Amino acid sequence: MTTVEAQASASSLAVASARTRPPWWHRALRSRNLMIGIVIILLMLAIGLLAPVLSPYSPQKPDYSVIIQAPSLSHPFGTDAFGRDVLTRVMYGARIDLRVGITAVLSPFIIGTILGALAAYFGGVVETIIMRILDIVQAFPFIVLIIAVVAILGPGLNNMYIAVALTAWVVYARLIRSEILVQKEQEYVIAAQAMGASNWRVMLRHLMPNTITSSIVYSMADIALYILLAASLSFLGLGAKPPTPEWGALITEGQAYMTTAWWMSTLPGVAIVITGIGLSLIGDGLSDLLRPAGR
Amino acid sequence: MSRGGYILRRLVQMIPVLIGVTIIVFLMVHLIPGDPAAAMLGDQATDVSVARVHKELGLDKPLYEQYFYFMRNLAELKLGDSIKFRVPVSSILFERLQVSLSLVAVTVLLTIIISLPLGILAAIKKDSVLDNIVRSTLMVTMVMPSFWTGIILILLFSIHFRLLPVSGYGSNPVQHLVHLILPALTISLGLAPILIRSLRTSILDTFRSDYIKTARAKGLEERSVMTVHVLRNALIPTVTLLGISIGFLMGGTVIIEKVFSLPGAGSLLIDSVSARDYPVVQAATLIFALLVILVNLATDIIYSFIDPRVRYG
Repeated sequence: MTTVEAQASASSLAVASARTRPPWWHRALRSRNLMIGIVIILLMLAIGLLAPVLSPYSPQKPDYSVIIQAPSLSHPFGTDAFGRDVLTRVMYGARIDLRVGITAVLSPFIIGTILGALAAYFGGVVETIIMRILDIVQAFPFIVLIIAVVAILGPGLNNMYIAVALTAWVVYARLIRSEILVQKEQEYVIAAQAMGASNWRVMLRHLMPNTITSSIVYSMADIALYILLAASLSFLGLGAKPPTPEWGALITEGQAYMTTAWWMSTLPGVAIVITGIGLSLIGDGLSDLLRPAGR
Repeated sequence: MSRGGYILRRLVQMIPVLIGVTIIVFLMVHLIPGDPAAAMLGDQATDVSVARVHKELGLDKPLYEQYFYFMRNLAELKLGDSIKFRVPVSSILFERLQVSLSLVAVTVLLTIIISLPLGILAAIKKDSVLDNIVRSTLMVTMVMPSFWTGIILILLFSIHFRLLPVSGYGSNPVQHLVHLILPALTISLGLAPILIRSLRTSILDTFRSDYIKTARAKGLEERSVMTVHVLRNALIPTVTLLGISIGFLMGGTVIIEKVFSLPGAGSLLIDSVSARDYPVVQAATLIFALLVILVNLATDIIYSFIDPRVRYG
């Protein structure tokens, strides 16, 4: 049994056993992973939004009197080659990177869910066509395909969204397909069909609510992946352009001063790592929460 | 179905994927907004030069005819000419590919050296301090951007301790290997967590299976239970995972070659994107996809040999 199938059968068990367990919010509050993860991400969001209040410095305006200064009390993350406060730029970067991660995950999630559901529910030619396209997209290394699309459309974060939408839906399509393949043989679905419910009604009212959870869990880790991707594209010169304080762009700017000013490239990376850990904890916590009791 | 039949079916299944991949790569040039020839030439685009590139790439012919030429050239390993270097793409690409493949080989080796002992230890000492340290460290290394990890390793091992070269590839095989250690370690730190996690889970699953209980009940020594029974079975999904990860590995080389200025196919791809050298972008994308398809096929075939329980369904 593949992991995807295992998760599919696991969540069908979850439905059966849900009634005998404490309510979900009760278990959510007791899930340490989930709570720590949520706190980390909320903190990151708050830091991003409150950056103008929290920091006395501008993220963009150069100050040539303090160029390349090591971390100190007035500049905890040091300053860069233009005398800008690195911590301030990292704080403003939270706005960009969190938005990029969350925005990027939406379209593959929606496209993948629709195509995967269509493939599983209707089977036959529809399924064959969707699954063959999926095989083809998956033959390319993810980053190579993203780079190829960005090469065609031109650099920039907006084109990254398009590239991600075109390529990353395959994971969601696979997930939802394997879930629906399990669920569509269940009695409640057959009963709904027998009572004359339309395909759309069966799909939206009955199948979707029971199959979407594993995709939601996966999307948390995926947000982290897109933050890494946006950072990598900036590094390759295909993402955010200077002076945008995107975290990857900050690391890249600092790389040139690696030997003399270690803080410029290392400290912005810490923000990415903390955000990534927060999102993985939320993902782990959610999957524990949705896993059937006793396993 | 026999193993031969299974392999044959896998080969047949590969055909539509291969055709699809070539169509996507072929269409890349046509999806460039505006005139692809003008886009490739950039500032140097004149009516004459645009017309010349049109003719060179066959852009003036109908689409199906262009695809037919594209495939015929591909069959003869003609990948077109680089616009920037003015030489056949194949002459640059295959040389660069050797660097990338060496990097992948060293990475796989390092990943195994890191993952095997840690995965086994984490499983044997489940829920111990060690297990928790391994697991929380992995959670961190997994979300580290690879290029950032690379920069930190350079700061640490090359600049601070002066043990390894900062970048480049050297000029002889020994130097090549020395130059590949840090880049390979960087990619390994991203890949090893996935393998260690899988190895730990599959060892724990194997521990619970009946034949292990039988082996222990027979009074077999724990060491031989571990080596003869547990590891042999637990390694199978891990090896498969390593095979499936080839896409991740090849993708990793693209970024890491850039960090360490390695003259590989990945850095060629990135440089060609910036230089709008589309024939090279096309060829490199195609080669990366073909490698992934081939390694996945090889993984499936090897899997059918090493795991007698495989059903050819």
